[in-house]
Amino acid sequence: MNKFLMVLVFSLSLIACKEKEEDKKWTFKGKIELPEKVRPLALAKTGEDFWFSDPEQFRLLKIDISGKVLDSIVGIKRPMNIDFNEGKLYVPEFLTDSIWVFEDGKKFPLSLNAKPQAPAGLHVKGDTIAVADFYNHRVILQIKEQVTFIGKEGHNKGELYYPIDVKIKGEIIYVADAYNNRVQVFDFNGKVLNVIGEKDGFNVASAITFNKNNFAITDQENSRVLIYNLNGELQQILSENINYPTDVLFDENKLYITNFKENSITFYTLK
Amino acid sequence: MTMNAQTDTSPLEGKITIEVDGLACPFCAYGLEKNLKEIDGVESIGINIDEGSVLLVIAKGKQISENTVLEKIKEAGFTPGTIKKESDE
Repeated sequence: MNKFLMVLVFSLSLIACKEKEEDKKWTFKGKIELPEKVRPLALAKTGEDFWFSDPEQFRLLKIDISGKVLDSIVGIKRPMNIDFNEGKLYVPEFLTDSIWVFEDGKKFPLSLNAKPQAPAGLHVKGDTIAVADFYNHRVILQIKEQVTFIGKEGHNKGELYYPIDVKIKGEIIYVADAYNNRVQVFDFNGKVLNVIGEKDGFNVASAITFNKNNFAITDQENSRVLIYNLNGELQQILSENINYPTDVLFDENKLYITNFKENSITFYTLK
Repeated sequence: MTMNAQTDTSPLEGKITIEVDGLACPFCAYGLEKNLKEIDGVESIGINIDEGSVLLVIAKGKQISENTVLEKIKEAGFTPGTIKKESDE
């Protein structure tokens, strides 16, 4: 009997925890103020600090959580949606169709077996590389040197129109299909699995980030960030203190959002 | 062809400012910059996202047809607005 009661109490507390987790909402917490004349476009977390791209000034800046500048990389001709993985900072250089890798103070080109035209964003995971190939309206997927092209120019399901960001989740690719105002989900063979956000009023879906149970998408022209669960169901819409968001980043219980039209990064917490 | 000849009235030189609708998006604005850089004779380009305009500096002694510039803007997916010619002096 006691054993039965213990199991019952344990089960009920598990259900309560789950409900509590689902009840939590993202709430505006504060802003990281950046130096004047900065226009933060994309963010990457490196330990306790951040790198962000500032294409207006042809540079990247490394800051701490207070916004203090710790380091910089200059002379990059419009650095766009950057990525950081296993100690390497990946930087797409929009004007030269190049992607650079920075590691331990050294700079070298990313080995990519296809030429993008205006690379807008990328995600590197082990030996898998996905690049948002903005002017070719496609994603370049390279797995162990083998290249697959995903999408082609158009507005129908499976077609892309100026993709800006891309994220790999398991063996699935999420693409910010920016000027089709949606996110499309593909398998590694380019088969479209899901289309997300078409009814949610997006005006330029420009960046994606994941945490364990959700993903967030920037709605650039409407100054919003939309949160979805992994099934693509809308969970929450954020707009407070967001000004022209071009990138979004989950970090544990925080969500960071770049305000491209002002020199700040907004952050929300889960409450 | 006749239509082009009619609109291409005078060649551009020195500094020109072009108003462009929808230049607020950085990805598109820098895409336009990329397109305009391909024009022979362009020395430098200034993109003003806030004002939605492009400053084109044409190399000394070079001339560019207005149609070439307009076509490049349209190729990048934009609608060109007023073109203002400025003296280089």
